[in-house]
Amino acid sequence: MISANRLGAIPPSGWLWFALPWLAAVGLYWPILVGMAAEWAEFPSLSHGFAIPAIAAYLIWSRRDRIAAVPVQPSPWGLPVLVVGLGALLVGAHADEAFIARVSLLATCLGLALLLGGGVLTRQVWPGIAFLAFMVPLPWSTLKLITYRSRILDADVSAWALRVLGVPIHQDGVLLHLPNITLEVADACSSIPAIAALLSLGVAYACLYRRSLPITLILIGVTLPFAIVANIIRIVTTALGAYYIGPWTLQSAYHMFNGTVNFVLTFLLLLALDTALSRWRRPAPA
Amino acid sequence: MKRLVVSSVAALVLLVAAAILLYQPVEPPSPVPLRGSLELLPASFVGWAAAALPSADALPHDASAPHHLLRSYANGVLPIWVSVAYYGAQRAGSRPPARDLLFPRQGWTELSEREVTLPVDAGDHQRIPANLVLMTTARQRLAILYWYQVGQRAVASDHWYRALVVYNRLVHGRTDGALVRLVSPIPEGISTEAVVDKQALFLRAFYPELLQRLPR
Repeated sequence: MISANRLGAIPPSGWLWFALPWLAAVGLYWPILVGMAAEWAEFPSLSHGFAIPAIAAYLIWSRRDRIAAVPVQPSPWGLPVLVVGLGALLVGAHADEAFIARVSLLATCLGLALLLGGGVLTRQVWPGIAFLAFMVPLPWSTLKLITYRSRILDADVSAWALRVLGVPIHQDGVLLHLPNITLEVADACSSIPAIAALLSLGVAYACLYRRSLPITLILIGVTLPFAIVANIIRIVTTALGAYYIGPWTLQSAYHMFNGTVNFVLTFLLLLALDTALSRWRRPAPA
Repeated sequence: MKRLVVSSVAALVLLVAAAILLYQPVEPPSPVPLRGSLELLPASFVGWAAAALPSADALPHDASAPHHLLRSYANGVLPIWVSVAYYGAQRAGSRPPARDLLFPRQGWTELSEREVTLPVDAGDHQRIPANLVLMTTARQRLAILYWYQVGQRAVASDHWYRALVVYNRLVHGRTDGALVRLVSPIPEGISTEAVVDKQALFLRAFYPELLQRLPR
């Protein structure tokens, strides 16, 4: 028996047995992955999908020292998890529900990690596996529904903020009627199309810049609200520009490149919060 | 090491079995036929006469629906435009794209959306769920009621409908379903509630006739 069965101490033949199932899983899921990549390439709001596997791999690689030191103790509990993953793949494929088939990849990976490496090893790699969830596009109908709800929320809060700022405004659903122009919070104006990219940014930031667990959880938890706040800030400032300066401001880069603006604003909010929380936990020396 | 080998073999067996099941040719479910043609739905009901069809703008048609009915009824001033799209078997590319049909083109803006329940008999003993969507352009407002029919069962939620179709596919080997839409313009000076009440009144006459044509 290998001393402590550490991953770093497994002989080459052992590595073969460890790697073969992973290679087989890649082969099995290859058509699913190709289909997903085609969607990432087709829709700009999904293009972050290309970066997710790389970031997930880095999240695991950044823990390589710890992973190499853990004991490899294959666990039979991996079997039911693997069965669930493969079952979901079959259901999704035969029922023509691509989302179910794609999401099953996570359960399959978790099952393999547990079955081949055991619980201790899985505790080290699960953040990387879970991070892959950000590359799975939501079903179109779900995305449409969430986008509509977020547009209403964005319009409600933006209208309130504009009234507080003294702008005469009448809100009708997603329409904001200003004296000189009517603005619509359209699908493209919603933060939802970029939300997966923003959430993945928040999670990656929190995982890579290792903070205490409470701060990590706070950073992950605020990413979504920050993305919404950033979008509302953008809508309000766009409306202010249209009202005080003129409707031509709607053609400005600030409005046209809303995805980039949202991304940058959200990241800045995240940075600011991280700085504040880190300083609060580590007060400056007297 | 022995445990690793055993675990690896077990994983490989499962993966190979999944691959075999995944790539073996599977007969797609046969289309479930309608019990009666949609065209034979009455062109008028008591209190509701046939009326002029709406523009494609207000009620776009799903070209992938194998069976489709478009009718217009009127009770005095208020018209109700009815669309029923039936899919005997559904696959990607041929299933009710409700949200795409509701929010079809530039110029249409949705104002609100909520789920409602509508009585389908005079005694209000039976109610069905539906989605009420209010849409507007510069010229008019529309009240849109839509829901899905899975056989004799009405379903409002887009997601619950998809889950039901998956369940029927796996358990009963069928994937039939229909998308039903009732659309009415909201005239100036008339409240949305009044228009929806009229639509509900129409539904009590229309729904039993519809169920007779849909599969059990």
